[in-house]
Amino acid sequence: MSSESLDISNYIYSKGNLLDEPQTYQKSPFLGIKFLKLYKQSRLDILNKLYISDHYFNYENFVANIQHKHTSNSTIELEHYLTYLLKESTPNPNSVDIVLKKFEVKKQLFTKYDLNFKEISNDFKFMRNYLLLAFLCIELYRKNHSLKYLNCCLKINDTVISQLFNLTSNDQKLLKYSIQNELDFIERLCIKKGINL
Amino acid sequence: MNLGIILTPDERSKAYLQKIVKQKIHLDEIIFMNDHRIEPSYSSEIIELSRQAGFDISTPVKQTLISHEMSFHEFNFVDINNSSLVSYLSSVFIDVFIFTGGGILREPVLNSGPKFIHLHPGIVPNYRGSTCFYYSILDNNSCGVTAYFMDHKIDTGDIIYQKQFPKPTHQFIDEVYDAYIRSETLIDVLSNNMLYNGKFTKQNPSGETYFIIHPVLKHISILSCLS
Repeated sequence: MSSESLDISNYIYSKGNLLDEPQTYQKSPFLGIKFLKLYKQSRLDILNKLYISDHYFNYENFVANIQHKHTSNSTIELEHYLTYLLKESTPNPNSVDIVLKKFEVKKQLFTKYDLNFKEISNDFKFMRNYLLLAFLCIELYRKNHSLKYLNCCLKINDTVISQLFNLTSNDQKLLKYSIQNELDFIERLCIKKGINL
Repeated sequence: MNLGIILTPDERSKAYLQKIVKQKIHLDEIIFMNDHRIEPSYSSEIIELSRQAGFDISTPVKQTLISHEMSFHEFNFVDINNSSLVSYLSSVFIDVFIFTGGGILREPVLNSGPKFIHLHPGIVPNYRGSTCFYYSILDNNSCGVTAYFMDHKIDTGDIIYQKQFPKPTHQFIDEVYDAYIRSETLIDVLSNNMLYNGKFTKQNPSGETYFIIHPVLKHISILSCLS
């Protein structure tokens, strides 16, 4: 990083309790290159804070080892639904988009939905679901470069970061992987667009 | 064909109305939805850029209406689905309204009689949804506008006309560029009588729908215009 003094508290989009008071991202102001530098340093600071017992997170092993359980005929347990999609060789975009839209509209993911994907539980604080959706967005962005998925990943990471101190150690590992990939994508996009981050 | 416009006190409406006046395009009905918001103060840079884009962002909508002695019907809200507006729309003999605001039209409005045209800042079906110009700049270094007849879904109605624009060279996309590309497209539609020739295209149901852009991607998009 440059020697320029940066106040990372100015990256406001992961501040507060974004589960109970979601960020709308509407009409965000343009603050120049400084904002991107603040964002990057904010993410790097989070990575430094995360407790990681293993130095290396293997995504393929994680996906192979997560348990997928069949859902009932009348309800969708979101964790199982997302786990099933992750275990596919290529996640089905249409199936992911259903959940992506749910998150983008409400910024909350509930633990249970009916077969029309209407929420039937009150619990939206199970953080694993957000991280599983972030992983799906990462895989789909990597494959088809649709900015819709990178956009969603950024918002998910903001939301999960706002709950940092409520995360389990396993979820912290997942968040670290999610942020590392997000940063890599953003840096590549900046290079492509001639922006020196 | 009787043509009307539904205005709101924002940059888009200013651009539409001022260019319609400039082009001497006749409007049979003007509705002004006015929530009496405080008019923003714009920098001289933004005002100058808007004038280069063919409109003056510092001139309120109502001022344009009054200074050109245009008759209009005013409502004290900006909700397109308000029942008072729906009743009024049912009572006027207008074939098509230009809709300048945002939001989804509900059944009562859609069934009120007139058709509604929207100028969406994205080339559908690949850029439906929100803040499409930012995504399009990132993907293609360009933007586009689609004029279409509104239905009960988002950005899925029959296409009247589509127009491409180069990406802007300034940062004021929300304030100036968005209003500029939409208003230029509208004038193309009206000046070339596209509403009369009946050549409208049904949309391919597949495509992509975008959600409000994250500030990080928004910044990359704007900075790519300035670099």
